[in-house]
Amino acid sequence: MNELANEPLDEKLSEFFKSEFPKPFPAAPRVIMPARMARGASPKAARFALAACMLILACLAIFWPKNINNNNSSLRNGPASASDDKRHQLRFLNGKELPGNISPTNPK
Amino acid sequence: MQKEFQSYYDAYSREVWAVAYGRGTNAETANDVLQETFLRLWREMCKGVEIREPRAWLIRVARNLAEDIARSAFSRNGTTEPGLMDQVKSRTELPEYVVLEKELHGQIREGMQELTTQDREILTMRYSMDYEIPQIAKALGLHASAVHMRLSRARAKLAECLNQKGIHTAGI
Repeated sequence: MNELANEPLDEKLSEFFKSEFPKPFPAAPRVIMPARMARGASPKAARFALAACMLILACLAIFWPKNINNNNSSLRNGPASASDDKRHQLRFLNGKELPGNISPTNPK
Repeated sequence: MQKEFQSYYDAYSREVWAVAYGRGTNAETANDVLQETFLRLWREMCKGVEIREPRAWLIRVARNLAEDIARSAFSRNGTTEPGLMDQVKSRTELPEYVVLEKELHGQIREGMQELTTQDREILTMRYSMDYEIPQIAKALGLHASAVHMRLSRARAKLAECLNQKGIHTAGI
């Protein structure tokens, strides 16, 4: 391999290239860690967290119990009529319970 | 991550410099390319991009950057690299050996322009970093026999160029 090393041309080339090579060799560029990474949140961790959130959302969408709304249809649809609406029935007036089903909408 | 970056710099910066120098034969430009190449590496690392073969990545980026700079320099100046201006006479007198050395280096640099970029990369690694042929082959992703052949051919061509300029390779 070093048949190249003993020839005058090699000496000249070696001198030339060594004179071109920077001395001292430049140091690495000064780099600053981005703030989010300095806090310990690596891009991989952020991506993992995002993927986990998406997975949880997907699971909720698939496995969310659909019959909750069926059992409590009044909550979903509201009262069938105004008389069914408990909010419209007045059972107490000035602290006394009214007799029967007297309500403002049906005073008799 | 900064330690990882520094380890890449320690391992590959000289090869990156050699590749950049091989394109433009200008040490200052090679220094700029070196810095920019590693800044790009840092940006990729900050983005979380996984670079599987950092050496090959760095050398590819350095080649592209050096190529861009050489093209823009050519389009700006319409001429070759400013390193050739080293041959211009100085106003101050220099000792004779310094003059001779500068002249020789100018001739070598001019002869280098006759070679391909890859041949110049190989010569730079061989003579500025004292790399052996297997090391050059590994750094540049070439077969050792190809490096050997290219190195021999490049040397022969350079010797011919120097002889044509009246510099005999056996004498100085």
